[in-house]
Amino acid sequence: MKMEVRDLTFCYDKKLVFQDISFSVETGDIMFLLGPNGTGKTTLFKVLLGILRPRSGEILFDNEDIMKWPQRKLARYVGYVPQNIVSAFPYSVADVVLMGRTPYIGSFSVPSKRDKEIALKTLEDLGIIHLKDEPFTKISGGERQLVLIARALTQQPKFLIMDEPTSSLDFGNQIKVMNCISKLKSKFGVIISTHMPDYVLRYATKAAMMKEGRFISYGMPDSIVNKANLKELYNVETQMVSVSIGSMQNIRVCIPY
Amino acid sequence: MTVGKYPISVKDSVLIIANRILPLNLNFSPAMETVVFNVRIPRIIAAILIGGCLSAAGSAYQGIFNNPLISPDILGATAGSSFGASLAIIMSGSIAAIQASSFLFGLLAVFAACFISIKVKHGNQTLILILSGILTGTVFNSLVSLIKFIADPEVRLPAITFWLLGSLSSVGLDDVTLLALPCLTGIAVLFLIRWNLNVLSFSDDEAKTLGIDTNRVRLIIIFFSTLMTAASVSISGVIGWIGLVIPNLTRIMFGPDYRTLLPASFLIGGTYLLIIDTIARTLFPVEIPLGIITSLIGAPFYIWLLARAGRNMS
Repeated sequence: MKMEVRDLTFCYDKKLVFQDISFSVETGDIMFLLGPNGTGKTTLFKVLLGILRPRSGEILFDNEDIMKWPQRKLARYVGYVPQNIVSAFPYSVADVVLMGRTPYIGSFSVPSKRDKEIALKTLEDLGIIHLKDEPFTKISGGERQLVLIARALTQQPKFLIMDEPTSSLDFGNQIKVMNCISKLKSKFGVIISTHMPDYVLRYATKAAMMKEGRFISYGMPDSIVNKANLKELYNVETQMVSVSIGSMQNIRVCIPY
Repeated sequence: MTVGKYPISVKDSVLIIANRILPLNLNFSPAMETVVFNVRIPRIIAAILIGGCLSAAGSAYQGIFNNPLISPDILGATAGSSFGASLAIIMSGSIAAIQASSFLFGLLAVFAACFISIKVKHGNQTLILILSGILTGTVFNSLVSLIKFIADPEVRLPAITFWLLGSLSSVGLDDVTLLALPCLTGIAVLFLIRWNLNVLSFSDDEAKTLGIDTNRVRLIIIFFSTLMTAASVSISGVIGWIGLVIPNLTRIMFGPDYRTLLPASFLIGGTYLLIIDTIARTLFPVEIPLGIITSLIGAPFYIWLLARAGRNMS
């Protein structure tokens, strides 16, 4: 399936947040979005998720305009993994993941046995089935992020949108979550925002750089993540280096100085 | 059923009820029958319905506002009801007029809060709604004070004060019929959308991405929770605490899942108010207002509960 975004523009009242955003993502893609804080990445995601209405532009899924889709239908196509969140109430991990089935459950209905099986299967696939009876409020940040990914997968969507999924995690958990995402990509089109250029070089099939509400570059990760672009985006000097470790040949990394 | 100022034994009360249903042809004094059918049974049903509804409405409100410290009067329902009742009392309205006026102003207060929050355009809609509720509540509470200030201190002022403290002493069979419809409709609707309540107790954006039309569902929940609260308060007067404490107690006992939380808090709330009301009408020769007992018993109990929960968490 293909998501195509054309000339998307969004304003809060009169304040322009982003404009003329165009890109496309297909099943198998991981597109990374790099950009400084406050540049409109989260707002762009909210528009893609149908939470906010754009001022102008189009979002097409396989050439079908999704603007008029009800929230419920859209939720079967796009799953969302928010930044690390906490709930006021200690729902069990299994229940949180089960909430991913909501777009398939009638308004006056509760999850069926089959819904529960799908939720547990997802927990198993992600290797966190042992957490199923733990309260969501008591597990670690990394585990919580994996649970939120499990919830999004339980929606059985075509696209996954992840807002800085590793930003509040320790080093080990970041790698765990990134490896999990890269294993999933064959089944979904994934869009991720991040602040780590190395992740883009390592995992992305596509990348875009966003600054002050515009894409300043968009295309193959290798061609985009370079000294000049990073200087423009974050105003830091960097050096690109190639390293080889065992079977992994010529991995490019970016070192700031 | 058997405790109270008019002594009726367990055996007698069972026989009196059985006599109504089955053709037993037993003879009881009309006074005993009246006490059972027109005083005690209505009062027991009312206590269960009101306690249950306040608790269920409280748990629903806590879910949609994602905050366990919220009680069903957060949007001004109780303040509106109090004003409506005081107004009717000062105009020397009948009991029916007091109830009707209390119910209508309870709904009006919440609709006013919703209306204000829709008019104010702001990023955090939930915060604005709660602030609007506190504001309308303050306005209605001030109006209640104004009425108390100008009320005749011999008859009307005590009547208002007593109403504000909450009591089930004047509940009759008609009240139960009046109460049953809004309460049972409300609890039925909340129970039907129990899964959406679970999803809504995460953030609004997340609930939307999980396919819920959050504005519509939240409005339905607010409407029916308010209906239950206003109907209850219009019959019983102000009974604080239950809508805040019982949902939290139930959550500690049975977990946050609304599939069990909603029916459990209804049952526990109903039982709790029934016990409190029985204490209120038997402990002393004069009935003690319910609001006083719910707080006096509720607060220490809640402290004990918090201490216990705190230990379990660490």
